[in-house]
Amino acid sequence: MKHRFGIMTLVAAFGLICAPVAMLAHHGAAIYDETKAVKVTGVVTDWLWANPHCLLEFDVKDDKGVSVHWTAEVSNPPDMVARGWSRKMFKPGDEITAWMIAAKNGEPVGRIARVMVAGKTYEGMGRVPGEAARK
Amino acid sequence: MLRRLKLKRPLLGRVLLLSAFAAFALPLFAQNASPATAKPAPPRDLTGIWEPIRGLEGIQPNGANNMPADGKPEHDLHLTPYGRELAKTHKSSNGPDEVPPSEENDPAHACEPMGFPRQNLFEVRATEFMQTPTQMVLLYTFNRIWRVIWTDGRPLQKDPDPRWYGYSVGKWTDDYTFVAQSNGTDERTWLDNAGRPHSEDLRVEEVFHRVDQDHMELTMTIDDPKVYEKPWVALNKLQFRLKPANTELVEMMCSPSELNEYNRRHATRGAIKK
Repeated sequence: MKHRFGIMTLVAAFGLICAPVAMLAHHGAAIYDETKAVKVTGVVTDWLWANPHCLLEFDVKDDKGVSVHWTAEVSNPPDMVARGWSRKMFKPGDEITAWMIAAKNGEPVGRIARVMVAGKTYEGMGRVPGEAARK
Repeated sequence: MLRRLKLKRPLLGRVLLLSAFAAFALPLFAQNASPATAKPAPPRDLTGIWEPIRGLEGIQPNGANNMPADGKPEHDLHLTPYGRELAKTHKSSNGPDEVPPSEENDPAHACEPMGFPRQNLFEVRATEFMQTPTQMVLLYTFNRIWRVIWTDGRPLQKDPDPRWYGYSVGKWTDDYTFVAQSNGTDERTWLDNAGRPHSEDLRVEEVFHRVDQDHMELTMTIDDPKVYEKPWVALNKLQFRLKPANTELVEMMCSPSELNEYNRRHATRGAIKK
């Protein structure tokens, strides 16, 4: 019993490491800094369920209370359906927490690797920098 | 040390061993049913909905699955001088020379026709095969495109007018192998997602081999002497699995208005140079 948690953690970590490569973008990642994870909490303003990539727009308040408007992409609808996402999963006013990679140019533009909304966590596109690759 | 580990943590070793087995061996069993358990394929029949077993191998973001544009010497396609000049005009947002989305000129990203053979070398998702006495018809998920491969014995035209999806003829070479030949493709299309070029002299061979009831492999060879010094294999036994006949395919269309929104709201902002 004492070792159960440790063993399960090891097994889970091993499974993650061995998982097939992450789904990749149709468009490349040239605009992003893929080395750093950016985690923000904000309020949804729009959710565009569309090709070539779905877009989530949300406002995030910085340390001084100034609102910053973010646009963040994931993959196309068929890929996201396979990950449990849907056209109706976000609505304006929802509070979300997003783990992203962000644009190199400093604009509030990102690619979502993971998002939490309404108490549920969904895996997005690519992986969170610093974490092991996953399917 | 190993003995001590075994004595102290006998369960840990077993769990890790089982994990390794599960991670590596089980997927192989799932993907390649053993001859003892696989049902035999019906002869001369590809009817059904087929999907690449490993999704990324069908989507091929960095170019042809068997020869990705990753800069490795073994994936050098040996372009002719004409091919090199043609390739310079293609600005792809994937591959080693990728540019930001706002600077690319990928015709497919502007919702131009993907064309053939790129339809097989990018965005290969669930594809329905239908057979008539004179045609093999492929219904692709992406953009709801269909292709006709004539099976009525006609030869390929010698000098056809180019068109986006070219012209295709095919025949069964044995009960489980269907071979298609294509030509007459439009030079405006890219060969794959990395922006590899092709000319109107392109010839493509597709070999569809049905392994058993639920599995099929596709091998595809590119022969374009105007652009490439020698033929090359773009897909090497890409594996497909038969999906249930009642599968409802997810719609996936290139919409110019959606693309404009993506560029306006996102790609352009991310590519601003500061």
